[in-house]
Amino acid sequence: MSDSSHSEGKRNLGDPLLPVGLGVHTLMHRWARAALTSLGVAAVIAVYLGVSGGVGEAGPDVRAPFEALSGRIIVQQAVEGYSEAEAYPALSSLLAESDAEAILAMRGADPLTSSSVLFVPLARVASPGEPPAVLAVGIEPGHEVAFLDGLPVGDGQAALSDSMSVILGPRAARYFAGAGACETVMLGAVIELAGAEFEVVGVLEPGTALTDHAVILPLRTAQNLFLRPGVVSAVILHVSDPASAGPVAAAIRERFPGLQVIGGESQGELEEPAPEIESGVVSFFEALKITVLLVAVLMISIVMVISVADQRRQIGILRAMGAGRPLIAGLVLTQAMVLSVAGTLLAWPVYALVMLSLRSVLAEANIEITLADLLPSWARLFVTALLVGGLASLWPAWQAVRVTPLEALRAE
Amino acid sequence: MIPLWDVALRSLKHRAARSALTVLGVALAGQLYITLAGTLAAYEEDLDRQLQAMGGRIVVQQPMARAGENEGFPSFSSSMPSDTAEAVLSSPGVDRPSSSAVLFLPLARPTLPDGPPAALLVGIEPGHEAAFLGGVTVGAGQPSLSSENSVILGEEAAGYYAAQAGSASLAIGQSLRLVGQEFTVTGLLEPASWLYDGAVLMPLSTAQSLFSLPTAVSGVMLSVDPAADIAEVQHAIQAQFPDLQIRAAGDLIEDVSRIINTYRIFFRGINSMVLSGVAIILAVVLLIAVSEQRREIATLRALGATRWNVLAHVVVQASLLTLAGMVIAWPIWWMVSLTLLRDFLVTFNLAFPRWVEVLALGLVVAALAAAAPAWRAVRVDPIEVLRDE
Repeated sequence: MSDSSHSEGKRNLGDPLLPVGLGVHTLMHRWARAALTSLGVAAVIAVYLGVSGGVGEAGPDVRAPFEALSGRIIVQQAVEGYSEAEAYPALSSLLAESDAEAILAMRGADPLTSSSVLFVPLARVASPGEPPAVLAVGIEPGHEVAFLDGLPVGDGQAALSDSMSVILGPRAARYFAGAGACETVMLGAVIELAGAEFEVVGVLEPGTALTDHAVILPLRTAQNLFLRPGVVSAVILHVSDPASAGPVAAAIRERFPGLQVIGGESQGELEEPAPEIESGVVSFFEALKITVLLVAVLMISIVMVISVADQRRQIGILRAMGAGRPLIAGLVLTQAMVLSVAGTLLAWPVYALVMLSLRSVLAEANIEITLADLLPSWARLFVTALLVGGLASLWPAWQAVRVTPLEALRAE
Repeated sequence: MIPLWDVALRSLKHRAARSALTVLGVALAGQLYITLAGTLAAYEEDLDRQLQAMGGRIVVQQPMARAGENEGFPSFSSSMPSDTAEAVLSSPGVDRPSSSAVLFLPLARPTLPDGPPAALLVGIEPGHEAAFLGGVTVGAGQPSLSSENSVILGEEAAGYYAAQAGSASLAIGQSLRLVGQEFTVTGLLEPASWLYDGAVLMPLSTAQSLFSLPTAVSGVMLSVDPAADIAEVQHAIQAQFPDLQIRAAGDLIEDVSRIINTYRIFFRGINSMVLSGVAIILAVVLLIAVSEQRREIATLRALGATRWNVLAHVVVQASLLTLAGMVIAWPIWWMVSLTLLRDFLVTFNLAFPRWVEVLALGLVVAALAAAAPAWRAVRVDPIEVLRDE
C-alpha cells in the first residue's frame, strides 16, 4: 500500500470501492504471504468439503425417502422401542401376506397404485441413516408406481415384464457394473442375485437415496429367492381421494393395532423419522465442520493481525487524511474476504483430486462417486467463504480502527 | 551462552496477539486429530474384541449379491432353509453342542458408519448359545435360554429397554415387550463389542414364528471338534454345499476391517490436510517474525551467536507455539467431547494416547514449518543489517 496508498488516498475518500482497491493492492504487494495463506486455507476448506460432502450429508438423505412418500401411507410391523428410530423402510418388519391383502382391500385405498413390498438388504449400509447400498424391493408387478411414485425410468421401462426381470436404481446399476468395463449396468444386461439370473428391464432416473439403491423385482420372486414365503415387509397405500388419507390411516390403526402406520395424519403429511438414532453421527460431523471452519478463521485472522500491525503507518496516514473508521474496517474486511474466497476456490480442485484418487478405496465401502457427485453448492460455499472471511476480519479490523493518526505517526 | 528459550519466549510475548491466535489454531487442529484418531481407534478396538469373542468358529451364509463380495458378519440378506442348516450342522467334525443355526434380524439401523445394527435380534437354538456368544460372558443371570419366551440382552440393548421401562437397569426376571409379545430377561451380557452389546438373543423357533419365517434361518455358526482340523472341516462343508459361503469368523471380521480401511484413509487424510494447513500458516507467521527480527538476529550474531544458535532460535519459537497449542488441545477436546459429542465413541482411555501422539506430531509440524524461516534467519548477515541501521 505504501506508494500507491497516497495516490489512492487522493481519490475521493467517500468512494465505496476505495477499501476494496486498497485491500487488493495491499495483498498484491505481499503476494507471497497472501498465496501461502490461501494455500493453507485451501487445505482446510478442502477438508470441510470432504466432511460436508461425505457422511456429513447423512441427515438430509435420511429425510429424503420420507419427503418422497408424501401422499402415501406406509404400514409395517412395529417393533417396540427401536422400530420408531428405524422408521422406513423397517428391515426387520415382516407381516403376514393375508394381513397385507386385508389392508390393500380397505375402503379408500387405490388398488392400482398400492402394493405389498418386501425389502431385503443386499449390501451393507454405507452411511448411518441411509438405506443399504443395495436394497432388493419385491413389489407386485403392475403396481410398481406404489414404490416409484412417478419417478421416471431413464432407460427401458418402469414395469416388471416377467418373473426374472429387475428395474435398477442408478446407484444399484453402478454397483452391479462392479469392476467391469462399463460404469453402469446397461438395459438388457443379466445380473445375478442370490444365485439366480435376472434381466435388467429398466434403469431409474436419480431420485431419493431409497430409489437410487433399489433393485426392484417381482414380489413372488423375491419371496422365493429370499425364503420369505407368505410374508411381506410393508404395504404402500395410495388413497383415491387425498382428503380421505386421515380416515384410511385411522381405520388401519383401529383394525391392526399392532402395526405401525406412517402417514395420513393430516392429509398426507408424514411423520419425520426419529432423528435420535443418528444424532451421534450428525453431531460428530457437525463438530468436525465447525472445528475445521474455526481453524480457517484463525488462519486468516493471524495473517490479518500481522498485516494490520505492518500497516499501522499507512492506516494512520489514511486517518489523518480524513478516512473514517468504516473505510479502515472495510480495508481489513476486503483483505480477509479475498484470502478466504481464494482459499475456497483453490480448495475444490484439491478436494476433487483427492476424492477421485480414492475412488477404488471408497468403492470397497460401497461408496460410489463421480465428478458430478463432488460438485458443491457453489452459492453455499461462497457464502461460507464470506462468513469465514468476515469472522476472521473482526479482531484485526477492531485493532485497525483503533489506530490514531497521532500514535501511528509518532511511532515513526 | 545465548539463552535461546528466553529470547524465543520474549519474541513470542512481544507479539502476544498473533502468538495467542496461532496457539489457538494449533489447538483446534490438535483437538480434531484427537477426535478422528480416537474414532479410528474405537473401531479397531471393537474389531479386536469381536475377533476375540468369535475366533475359532466357522460361519456359513448365503453368498452376497455381487460375486466375490463379502459384507462381513452378520449378513442380513443371507437366508437358507432350516433343513440345509441342519445338514450343515450334521457334517463330520462339527462340534454340535457349540454350533447352531441362527436367524439375524436388524431391529434398528446402525448408528455408526459400517457398524452393526444398534439392536440385533439373534434367534439361536436353546442350549447352543455358545455358538454365538463364544467368549462373551454373562454379567447377571444365565447364558442359556431357559424357555421359549426368554431373552438374553447385550449391554446396550439392556440399557435401552431399561429406559423404556423407566428404570436405571434391567433385572433378571423382568419383562419386556417385543413385536407384541412378552419376554422375560434371563441373562445380561458383559460389555463386549458393539455387535454383542446390541444383541437380543431369543430361541430360534420363537424368532422364526415372531417374524413369520418358520422354515428359514440366516446361516449357521459352528465350532469344530477339538480333534478335527478346522481347515479340513471347512473344505469338506464347502465341497458338500458349493453354493454356500463358508468362512472362518476371523476372515469375515477381516473383511469388515478392510471396509473400515476407507474411514482410516478418510480420517488420516483429514488430519494430514489440517496439519499441513497449520504448518503452512505457522511457516508464514515465522517468516514474518524472522523479517521483523532481522535486527535482533544480527545483534545476536554480532554478540557471538552461531548460525546453529539462530536456527535453534527459530525452531524453538515454532516448537513453543505448536507445543502450547497441542497442550491446550486436550482441554478443548475434553469440552467438545462433553458438550457437542457427548462421549460419542471416543472415551478418555482412547483419547489420551492420541493426545500424546499429537504432541509428538506437533514437534514434526514445528520442524517442517520452521525450515524455510530458519534458512532465512541463518542467512542474515550482521554487517549488512547493522550497516542499514
